[in-house]
Amino acid sequence: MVVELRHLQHQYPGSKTRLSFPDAEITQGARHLLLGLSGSGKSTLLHILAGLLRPTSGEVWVEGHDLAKMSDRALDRFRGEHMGIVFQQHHLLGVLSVEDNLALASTMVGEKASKKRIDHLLGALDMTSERRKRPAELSEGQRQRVSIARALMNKPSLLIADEPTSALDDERAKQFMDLLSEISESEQTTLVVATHDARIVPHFDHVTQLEDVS
Amino acid sequence: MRLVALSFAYIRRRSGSAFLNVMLMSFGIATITLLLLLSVQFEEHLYKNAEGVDVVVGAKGSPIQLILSGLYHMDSPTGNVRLADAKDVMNHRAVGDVYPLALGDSWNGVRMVGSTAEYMAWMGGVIEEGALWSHALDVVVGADVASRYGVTIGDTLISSHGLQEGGMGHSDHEMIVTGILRPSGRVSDRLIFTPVETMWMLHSYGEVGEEHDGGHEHTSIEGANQVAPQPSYDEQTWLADEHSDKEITALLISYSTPLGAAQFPRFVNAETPLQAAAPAFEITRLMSIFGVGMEAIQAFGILLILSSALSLLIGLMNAMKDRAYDLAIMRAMGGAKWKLFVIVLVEAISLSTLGGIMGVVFGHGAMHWMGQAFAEAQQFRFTGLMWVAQESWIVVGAIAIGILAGLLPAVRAAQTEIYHTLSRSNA
Repeated sequence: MVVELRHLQHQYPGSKTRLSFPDAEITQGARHLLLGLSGSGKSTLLHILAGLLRPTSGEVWVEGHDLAKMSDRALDRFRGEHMGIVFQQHHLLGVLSVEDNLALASTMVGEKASKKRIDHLLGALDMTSERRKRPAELSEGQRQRVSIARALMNKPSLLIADEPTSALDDERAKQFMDLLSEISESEQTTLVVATHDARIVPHFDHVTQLEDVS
Repeated sequence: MRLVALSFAYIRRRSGSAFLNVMLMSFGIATITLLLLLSVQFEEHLYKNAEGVDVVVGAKGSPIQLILSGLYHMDSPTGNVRLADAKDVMNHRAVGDVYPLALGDSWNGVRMVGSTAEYMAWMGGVIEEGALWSHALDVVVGADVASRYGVTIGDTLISSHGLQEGGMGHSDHEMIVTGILRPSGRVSDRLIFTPVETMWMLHSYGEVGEEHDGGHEHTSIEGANQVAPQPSYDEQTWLADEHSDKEITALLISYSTPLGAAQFPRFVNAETPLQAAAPAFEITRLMSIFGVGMEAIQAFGILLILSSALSLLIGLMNAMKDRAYDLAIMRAMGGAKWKLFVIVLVEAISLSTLGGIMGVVFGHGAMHWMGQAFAEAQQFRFTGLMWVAQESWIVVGAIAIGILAGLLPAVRAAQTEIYHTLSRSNA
């Protein structure tokens, strides 16, 4: 089991609403969708799962480690080594080239970036010819692919994506999901996506429906 | 990809404001460096040119003026004193070596110094070409004087009264150049040396020594162009002269005993019509006067440096706002807080170090330019081609300023909150 969520609850400071999440188990190599409308807490759950937010109560087990109990420093390192995150806005560093954006992922966990790994990922995502370009010189689709490559740089066991298709039309959403599924499979990475976009449900083995709490 | 490379990438992105930060810092550092070089060289020249002289005796007036004119040939003399009074002073038991000075005339604005060969040697004057004087109205010129005016051995010079160009000329007495000094880097490079008797002749104290017809043969004193000038006929004749009207300008005296410092100045100032001024004391006083102006300029330099530190701080704080998502992403990728801290701090230190190094280079450049541009107006030579040990501290100070200016933005970067920052961008 790669991920286990048990009795998770979260309450933001100053908020009267306490979000409760269903228990879930995600197996190695699975493609798991967290589906819910806006306000259902799916992004909150995704951030808790990624170790970016600590739950108010409950347990988050990833690869046998309870993230809720890890120190900040250990959690930082664990996240960098075992998780890759694809953000909705990509958040590539504009000051760096495509290949340096990928290398940064290794630098952040104290590893020397492997040129071979960068070449492999850029090749797999058909971005080799764009390696020296800055994000501003890329199309939206190219930036999305670089964002995926960066998330996979450290060979994570868990690839997490937050609303990756919400701004895409049907055709592009399908293309993106095909690419994400393909590369997560080739990289043998467990894929967890949080979205309100029901169009992408067919790409997943498991779907956890989150209730609207508003 | 190193953290430092990321810092440099961020510097490149905000190259405009980074350039301004660096320039502001460099101007401040350059000001401090320039002052440091100036004060160190000035003090060095003052002490170097006063070595071996314990006291200067001359006409009553400003003691600093007496020191400046007598030791450094920088100011007008306080006046002349009667040779008879000078001899009385010289008979004091505390008096060791004495160099007489007869000043007040010049050639093309170059000061003439009537003295002895011993004095010229003490001033660092070593004859490179020609020979020492052997008669009154013979002169030996400093290296700078020779090169600037193209003076050669055998040339005749007509001096004028006063220290500025355009004074009344002593056209009835032509002086002949018998020697040219080797460059010494001291005041002697910019002077014309001649026996005391020359000055007396120029000022019509009667004929002294031989009649100088300008046509006799000037023979070199053996060995004079290898070593310091040897005493010549004039060494004691100025002293032996009993003419009651004769005057000299000053006496440079070294004590025969350490007790001289306690007794001699009091004796001169209280019991003779002359005044005694101690170089050590007056140099200290001069440096403290000079120091007031220096401190004012230094304060301006420090103000510039502080402004640059503030500008660096504000620039980085603004940059932290622009980079909030970048920082949050780095944290999300597993970047530890200290790494973000280091990235920002390296950025600040790089800019301040660059500013510091450029400032030191600018300071040396400015000092060198000033040394060259005002070379003719100075008795001391100043150069930018020297390194003062304290300059290392200037660079260290620049780095420290970078650390101080970068500390707050670096802490802010390290405290980047991932979830809320990234949530804002998704909203």
